[in-house]
Amino acid sequence: VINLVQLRKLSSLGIPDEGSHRGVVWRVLLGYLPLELSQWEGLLQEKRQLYHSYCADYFVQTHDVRTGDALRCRKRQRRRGRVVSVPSYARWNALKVSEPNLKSNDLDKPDWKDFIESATLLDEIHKDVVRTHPDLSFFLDPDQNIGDRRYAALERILFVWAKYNQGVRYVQGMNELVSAMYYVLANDTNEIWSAAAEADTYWIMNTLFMEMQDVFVADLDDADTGIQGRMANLHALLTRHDPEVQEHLQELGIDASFYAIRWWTTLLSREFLLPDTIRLWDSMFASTRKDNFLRYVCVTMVMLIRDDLLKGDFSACLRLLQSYPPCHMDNLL
Amino acid sequence: MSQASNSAPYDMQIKLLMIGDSGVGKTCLLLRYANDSFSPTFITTIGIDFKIKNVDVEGTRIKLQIWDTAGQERFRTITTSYFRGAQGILLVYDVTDRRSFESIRNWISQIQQHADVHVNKILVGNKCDMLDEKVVSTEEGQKLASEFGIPFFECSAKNDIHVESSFMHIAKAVKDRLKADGQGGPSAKTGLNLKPNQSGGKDKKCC
Repeated sequence: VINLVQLRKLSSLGIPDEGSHRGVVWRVLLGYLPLELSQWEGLLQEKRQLYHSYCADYFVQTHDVRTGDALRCRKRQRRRGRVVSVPSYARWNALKVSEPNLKSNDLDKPDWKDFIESATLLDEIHKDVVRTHPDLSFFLDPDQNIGDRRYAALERILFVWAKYNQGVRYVQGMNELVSAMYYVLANDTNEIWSAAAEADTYWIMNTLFMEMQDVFVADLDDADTGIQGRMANLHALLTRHDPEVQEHLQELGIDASFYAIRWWTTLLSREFLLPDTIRLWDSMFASTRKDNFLRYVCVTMVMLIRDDLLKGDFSACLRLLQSYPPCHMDNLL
Repeated sequence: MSQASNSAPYDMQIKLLMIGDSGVGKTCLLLRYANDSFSPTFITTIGIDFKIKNVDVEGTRIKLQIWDTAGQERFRTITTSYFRGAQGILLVYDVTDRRSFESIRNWISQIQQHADVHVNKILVGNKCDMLDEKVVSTEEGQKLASEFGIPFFECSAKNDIHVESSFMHIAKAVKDRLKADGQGGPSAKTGLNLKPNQSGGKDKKCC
């Protein structure tokens, strides 16, 4: 049995990069793996199978890119001279088309509507997945299209999650979160773990999103746990800890939402280099209140550059906050 | 009302806003214009970003403050809150993505609801270098622009086609309007300006 208090304490100091440490610890900290080791095998098997069955419900099982029933259907529609606003979704993952759809040409039928909705969602996700860490060799590796296949995995994870969480669906920024988690799990040197990176990323992402999903929902924007609520909270915390900077920013007309919406919805993963983000997340996942941890880190980030902010005008301040200067993660934590 | 900032003095500051569906290339257009760079590897805008560019328009030194918004529907309530105070808006669609063109009407109604009444607008069809994949014709773009009485440009952030001229066009339009409204300096006229201040779109073809 794992001592969670001890594990949190150690992880908050940073988890070693080598071996399976980080991947496994994240699975535990995020509540995917139980503390009782004897339960691991059964649970992992069950959850991984479940994820793959979700995928099988939606996608044609093929590794052949740019083929699949979905694409053929689209072409057929075009041949018959109908304008169908179905986008170019079938690059990696081809959506399944149901039998009734294959026979029917009536796009107003519910099955077709479902299909077009799915295709639209997949296209939306695809657009962002291809622009996630586009300079990281992990996603560029041309060897056996491994880079593209990794992108395809992100696409499936996000798509399936959006399908099972229709109230939240897919929101820009989720791609950043998933990519960092998948990067960690897939880079596990133990193949037993890395081989299951996709399914396990889905599940740890699921537990993380359950906690933070309110920031993704437009209808909850003004709730305490919604994005504007979080911004108001950040504003209050900054006022408490550094009223001078807060007043300066306010005079310039710089609202927390100008810079911190991205900080919150991506858990700061867009502000730092990937290794720094990962180190930051070790501590965040180890904390018992991630949201509390995050808001204190955000305030600290502002305070670390306070001298430059106080000297700056509107543009200078906004530039500092929107492209945060490189900083040493240890200083921040 | 000239204001001097320590590094770059200017006669007028203009706030521009870029809107349009996700993935149409708003950020790429802005990077091309403000930094003269294009990278096929760009990242999703989350929330709002902004850039500054100092330009000289017919002798007026203008500091352009350009806001780049997230295109996704989820961010609509957040991005529309930035509409107020914008003096010029670039409506961007992707000539290879019909849905993004169809969304323009919706974006225009967002402007009508949330932006200042006199805000200058310009319609921009991006990615005009992708001839093989182009699905929205120049004529369609032109027709829509004429319907709303706004200028129209087809651009390519990638090949640097008409990017600079689009931004300059809207900067000049805003400058002229502000000067006419008496906000631009000593020579400004006073009184109501009742004539429509948009020159119905000129035909700008690029490819």
